[in-house]
Amino acid sequence: MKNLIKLVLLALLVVLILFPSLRTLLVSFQTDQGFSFSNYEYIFKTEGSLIAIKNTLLMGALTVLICGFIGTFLAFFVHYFDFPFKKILDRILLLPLVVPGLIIVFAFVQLYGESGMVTKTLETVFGLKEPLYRFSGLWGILLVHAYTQYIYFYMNVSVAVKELDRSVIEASINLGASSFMVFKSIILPYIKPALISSSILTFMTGIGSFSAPNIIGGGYKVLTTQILLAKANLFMNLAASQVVVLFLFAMTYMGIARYYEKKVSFSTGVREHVIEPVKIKNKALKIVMVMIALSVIVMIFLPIVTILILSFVKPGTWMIEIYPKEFGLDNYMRIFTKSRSLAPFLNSLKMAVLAAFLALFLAVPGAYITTKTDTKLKPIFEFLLMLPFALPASAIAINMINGFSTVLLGKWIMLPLAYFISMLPMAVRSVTISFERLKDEYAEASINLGAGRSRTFLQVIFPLIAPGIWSGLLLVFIRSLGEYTISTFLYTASNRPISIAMVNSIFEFEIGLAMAYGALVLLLTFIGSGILKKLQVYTE
Amino acid sequence: MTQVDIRIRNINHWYGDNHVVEDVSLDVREGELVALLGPSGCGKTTLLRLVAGLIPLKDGQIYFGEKDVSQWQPQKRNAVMVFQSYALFPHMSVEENISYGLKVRKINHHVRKELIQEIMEKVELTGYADRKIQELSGGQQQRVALARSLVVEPDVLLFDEPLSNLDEKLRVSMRQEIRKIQKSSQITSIYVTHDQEEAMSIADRIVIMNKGKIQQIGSPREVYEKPLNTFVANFMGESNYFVDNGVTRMCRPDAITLSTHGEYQGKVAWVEYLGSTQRLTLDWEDRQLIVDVFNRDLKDLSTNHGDRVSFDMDKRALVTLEDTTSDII
Repeated sequence: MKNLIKLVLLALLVVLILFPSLRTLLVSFQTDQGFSFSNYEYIFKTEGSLIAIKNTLLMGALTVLICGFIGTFLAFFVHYFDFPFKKILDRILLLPLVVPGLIIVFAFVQLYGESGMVTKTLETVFGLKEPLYRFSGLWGILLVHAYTQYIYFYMNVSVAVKELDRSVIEASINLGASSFMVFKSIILPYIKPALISSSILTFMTGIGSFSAPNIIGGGYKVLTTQILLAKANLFMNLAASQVVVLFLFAMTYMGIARYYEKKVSFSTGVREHVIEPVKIKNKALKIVMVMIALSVIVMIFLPIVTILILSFVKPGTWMIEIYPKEFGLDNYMRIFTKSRSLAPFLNSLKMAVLAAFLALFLAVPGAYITTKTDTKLKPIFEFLLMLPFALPASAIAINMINGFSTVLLGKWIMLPLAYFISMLPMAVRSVTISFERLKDEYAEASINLGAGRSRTFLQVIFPLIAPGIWSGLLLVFIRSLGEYTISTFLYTASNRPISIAMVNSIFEFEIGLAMAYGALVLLLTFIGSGILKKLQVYTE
Repeated sequence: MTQVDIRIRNINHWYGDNHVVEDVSLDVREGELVALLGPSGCGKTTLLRLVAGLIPLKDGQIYFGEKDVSQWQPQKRNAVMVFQSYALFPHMSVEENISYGLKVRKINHHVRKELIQEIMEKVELTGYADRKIQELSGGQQQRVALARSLVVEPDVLLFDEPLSNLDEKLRVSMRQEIRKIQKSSQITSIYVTHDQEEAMSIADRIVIMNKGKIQQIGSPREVYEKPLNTFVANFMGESNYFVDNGVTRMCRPDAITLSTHGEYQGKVAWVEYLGSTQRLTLDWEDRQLIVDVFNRDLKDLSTNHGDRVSFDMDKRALVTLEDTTSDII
């Protein structure tokens, strides 16, 4: 039975993940003249393509720097110092993790774009003839990234800060170290591994970013948008080689960073004194800190609130004014009464549910095999289950086309299948954590007390891994619901997801309708992440 | 529960090429508590898990009373284990944990309630029924684990280093409690530990193991005072060794007594004050002896560093060991 499960899982992983990836690799070497490197030559020799590569790497590097600075600052701000409402701030800071990138991009356009509300307000207040800044190109992209991707640095550095050993800091002060010395010689080495591992995630999402460059990038070409361009013009071989190049960039950075991560990481010995947050005594400083905290909260909520408010704008009433004036339920009415408008919402719901269950269908046996069994094939399972994690969403989309276009081209299943593959690692990690925490002794104790296999599974094992299963399910559901990149590559006229419907509405100047779609996604996302939060409490 | 004795016959067990339990035979009498004592990796826990059936037995026999349970499923053995980590189900309350084994045994609701009430009183957990496991202290968790095992009235009770996660003080009081409960319930028990003091204080008999083999079986007094070999002698405490014509003999530090007109003379090289006793290291004939003395027996004898002292050695207390170790002394 166990072997059968292994075999079926392995077969599924090979067909769904390995085969399409290898197909892409193969396709990338195919040219009109047969098997050759000429696609790669084109990528590295054509000026336009070289610019896209340079832009991609620059975007990745700057994203890491900016997000590293913001995330680390916020992590110390929230966890190293003691000030009012830090707990709430911590939770709010994690919000952008679940908000779909596309929604953020549109909110930012409404706020900071050429005719955005903030831009126009500043223009009026200062009596300017031209906007103060231009929210487009590299800087526009980076602003979006700063908002959405600081989160990896924030989460990892927060953990490191919380694990700082107070007694080591005290020992260093006791030996006469200045504050600067303490930071340089104690605190920095402690958080360095966190900085490096966050930079890997941030770099990978940075160079793989698609929503921001595609919508506000303007003339700023990057690899992901070039891939879409190549695919749209049916240069599939070129698209494939661009995917391979993007993948190689990600892997190279990961390889180098992992090497340094290993070098700087150390295991701590006895650690009984966790740091206590530093109390701020200086009144002026305290006020400054509260101000920073408040502005961070405003920054985070502004785009979300913007979406919600704009979703109530009466269609056709907001044309030249800076702020909308007439509100109503019209947009929602339209979505829920016109089947043409409702279709994308229902379609996305259906696809997200399917993707979530498919992911779980593979994640549960996958996590079980990699944590609880001893098989020689374990590294292969681990590799295949985690491979999609190293592939940008655009790469997954291209893989799907290369792998399955002959059988599934234009079929509805293509899109949920792609969602599920790209989010499989997320589900696997969630379930794996549950399995790792499940000590073998629980099952042994149950058997030892006389319980049979089915009772042991139903009453002891399942309840203990269930939170991991539910949270894996929810994570994939939430992420699939507002997914944009894969959708752009693979949607068809008969299979429009909500993100595409949102973009279409924007281009048809039906901003209110687009925002209502966005608000619906947000609503479901928040409900989902609320349940997730509950589940986390339960697992701990 | 039915009172049974345990007979273990010629058990062998391997992990890969590693022979972890080597031809072990052992009898545990009805109602007896036997401690398996030895350093980590000596095979004691493996032996315990073989008895529980958590590891399938490949070579040898295990009898509970007249029944050969060697190939029985663990569920059927009614040999309940108290785990080192307690293995309490984290998603169940204290009461649900305790009643789990009763539900498995299909005990009816009313009887179950009574039994749980009774056992919770016994382990002093009354009032904790609805608590979550995470809300309990280490000592309380230990009591729940004990209650969960006792309540099903097992034929055999197995302890796998149950006290190793508690602090010193609690460990001492818990081991007295376990001893009391085991004596009053008369359940035949095997108790695994690596702590010789714990083994001596709790067990009727001690089985000392090393590298998968039984070294000696005996009462606490026997294994301490009359060790069979150097391993047991070393493991059970400090000893003084004397090698003579290839024969090794030993005595414990308390077999040597200081007196004003003792037979031998030595010089104090080291003193450790331990409250009611002190442990002296004496330089004597090119070697050192370890001597434990009661402070109240010393009277006006001076035992400062460098003092000359005279002492007697109880020749009858010298034990001849089966093996010789050249590297002693």
